[in-house]
Amino acid sequence: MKKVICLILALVMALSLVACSRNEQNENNGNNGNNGSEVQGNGQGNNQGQGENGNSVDDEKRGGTLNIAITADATGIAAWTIAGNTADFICCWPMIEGLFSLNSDGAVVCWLADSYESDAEAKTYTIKLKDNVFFSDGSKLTAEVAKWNLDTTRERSQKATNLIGELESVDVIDDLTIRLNLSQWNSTLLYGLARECGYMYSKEAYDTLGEEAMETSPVGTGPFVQTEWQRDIKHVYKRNENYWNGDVYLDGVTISVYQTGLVAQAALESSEVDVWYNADFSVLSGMEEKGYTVALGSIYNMVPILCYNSTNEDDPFYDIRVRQAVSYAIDTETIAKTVYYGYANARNQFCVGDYYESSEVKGYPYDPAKAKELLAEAGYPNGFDTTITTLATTATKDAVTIIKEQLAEVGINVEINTLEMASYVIELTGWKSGMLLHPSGSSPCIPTQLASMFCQGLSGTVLGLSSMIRPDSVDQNLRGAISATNDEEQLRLLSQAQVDMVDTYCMYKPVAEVPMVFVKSPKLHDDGINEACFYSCTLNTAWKEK
Amino acid sequence: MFGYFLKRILVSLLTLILVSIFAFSIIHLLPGDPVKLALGEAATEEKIAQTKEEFGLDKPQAVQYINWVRNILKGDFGRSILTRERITDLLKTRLPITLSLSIPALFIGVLTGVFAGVVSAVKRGTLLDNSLAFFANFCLGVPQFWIAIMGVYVLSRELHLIPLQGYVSPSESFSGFVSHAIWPVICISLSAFAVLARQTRSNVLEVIQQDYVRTARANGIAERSVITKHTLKNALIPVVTLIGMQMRVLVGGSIIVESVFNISGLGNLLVRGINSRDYFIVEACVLVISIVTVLANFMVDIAYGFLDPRIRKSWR
Repeated sequence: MKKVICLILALVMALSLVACSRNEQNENNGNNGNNGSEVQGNGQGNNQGQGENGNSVDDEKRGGTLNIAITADATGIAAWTIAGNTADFICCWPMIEGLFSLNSDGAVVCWLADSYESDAEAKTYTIKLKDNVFFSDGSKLTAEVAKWNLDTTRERSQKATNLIGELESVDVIDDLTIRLNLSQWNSTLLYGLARECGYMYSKEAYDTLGEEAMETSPVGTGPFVQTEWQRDIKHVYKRNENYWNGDVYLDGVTISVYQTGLVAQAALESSEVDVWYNADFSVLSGMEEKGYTVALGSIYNMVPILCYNSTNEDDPFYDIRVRQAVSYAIDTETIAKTVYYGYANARNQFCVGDYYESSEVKGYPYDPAKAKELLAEAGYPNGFDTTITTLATTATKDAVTIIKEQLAEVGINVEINTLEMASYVIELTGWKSGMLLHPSGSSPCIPTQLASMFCQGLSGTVLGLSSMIRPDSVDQNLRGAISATNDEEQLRLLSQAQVDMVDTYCMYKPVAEVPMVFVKSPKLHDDGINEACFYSCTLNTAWKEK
Repeated sequence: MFGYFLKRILVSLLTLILVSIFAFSIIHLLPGDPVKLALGEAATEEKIAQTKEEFGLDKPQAVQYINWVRNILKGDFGRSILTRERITDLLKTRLPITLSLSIPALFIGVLTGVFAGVVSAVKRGTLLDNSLAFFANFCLGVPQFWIAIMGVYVLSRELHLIPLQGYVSPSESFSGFVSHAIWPVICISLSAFAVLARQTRSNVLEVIQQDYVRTARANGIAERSVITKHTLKNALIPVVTLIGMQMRVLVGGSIIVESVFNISGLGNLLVRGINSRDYFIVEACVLVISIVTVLANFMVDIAYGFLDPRIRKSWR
């Protein structure tokens, strides 16, 4: 009898526990729904698509932590400490937002800005800010704050000279409107403001916490707030409960450093991470077969170019015919297929995407016979000995090995010189002779990118500063493209610059446009990671299947 | 005895001074500019010059060295050129992490290595001896990163026995520490195990053939007693030297394991410093590793005295 009573009591207790837990769940659901309604009621929400099923869709999406694997930690996450590495942008994704962003086509769209007007004659941009934007510390994004941010960036950001160098001053027009005054017209300025130069940080937090605190735990307007940064290990973010742009589904984001690619892959395959940045090209097709999403971005971010030393009179490459011969002797289609496993596209000009591509550029299609002919004309019928210097990465090492073999077919004997980053940055500005395979990163805004590389009068760590010619026509056309007042004029001048750099002067041989690779779990949705490129994404709408 | 200690301390200090000069010179001789790396491709010449001045890198190298030593004597290792973090703070957080892995690894490596060496010697020529010799050679021959990654794939990804990577402080959660650290510790301890097993085996074999051991056996002393009381005490003296040397390998040699398992120890910091030519980080890490090594060797020298009465006698 005692046993029966005990059994009944145990059953009752078990049922009570189950019932209690269900009630609790219902209460939680109700709270979530209330929160969502309040946010929507305030007109701030953009994620409250409850529809006829009430909160069921949102509740299904709600919760979980997004785990992202990166290969090296960010250099900085404050606008003035960002060096431009991909990890810098990734670590800013959850918490920092900019005035502008890029859509999936790579075009600039307003984000914290509500609208803008440009006046090429007056050399101004007038930007109206959204009225309901708040930082995670509760302070509001006003015109004064935006001005402070732009002034700080203009003075201190490492990329400011290249991206917003023409920005002379910022005027506050009213509480939500600023006017950017330029020293000379720049039609591509908004691209700079769609990345770190347009990032907005809380001035109140800066004034209160100080500069050092803002460099390690900045306060932005993003959907998440950074709670921990163990350098070289991980960044931890929790949901910003007061996010201005609606409800956020994920509880948090963790960005961890996985220095070993194999471990990162294992972490993705065992669901320890949801996104893996910088996966090796060799594993991509295998990952796709297993159901993972390989996000390459609509706009590729890297253009490896083979640069020739065209300033050293004692170097064979001083003769344009030698540069052209080498360009004809290299089969870039093979390199794109072999080195990048078909995930890159061979290009005849420095370009990412189609918008800025010039049909005028003839380039140098693979033609070893023509190469030999040109070499003979230049006085090198039997070829010559030379070197290729490059950064020691798997892809560049593979690429120069193929180039070496292809050049051997026309009699050119190449010695490969691979350098680690610290030595490479020195060689980059002025290698003494031969060629340099430079894995150049690229902004979607090609005029700005090329102007920062090939205009005259540049200084600092610039590609081929003392090794490559910078013809007047290239300089004029690139500067003209940036200050063009209409799109047609800009494309025409850029096209002329591309023709000069590739066909007329053969300054370099573009190898391919290469994507920045993110491998994502199929359970991750609406994250916008690498949709256009890696500068921004939409973690505010991201959610994970349970 | 005091004279002996003083002599050892002076030799240790001299070693540290020489190591500091060596570390300083080597990193400055390597090609690469830390400031250009830190500031990125868009840095202007003015900004580069300004940053060099800020870190004192515009001064002659001899002056830089003197300033560096002067600051270290004040307890200031300087700031990272790349991240501007205080290196003293970095060392305070990173060294305990490395030690929390290397000390258990040393402990495990020494215990298992000495035990395996003795067993191998006593069971010379048997299957057990051959198996242990094979395993020791395997541990020496196979790269540490391969063992680490195989562990990640088999134990973490396939069997889900341990976490893939990361580190949990023992003060935060001891079970978390054990589960995260067990495979890294085993990986680090393997080289110590292999070296000590081989050395112990050969030493025990040598001692076991000595006349006094034969005499002990002839006197009817039990085999266990012969091994533990008469053989090991003499056979382990050279092994103690190896243990001291292994400490250097364990503190400085955890670089690969820390990279694979994403552990923010001293090795990881040193790699970051070397890759970014962060002079002050590399110099500080090398100095700390050499201090640990010198201290370990100092302790080994003292231990000799207790293990070998002849040395103890020479102290007087």
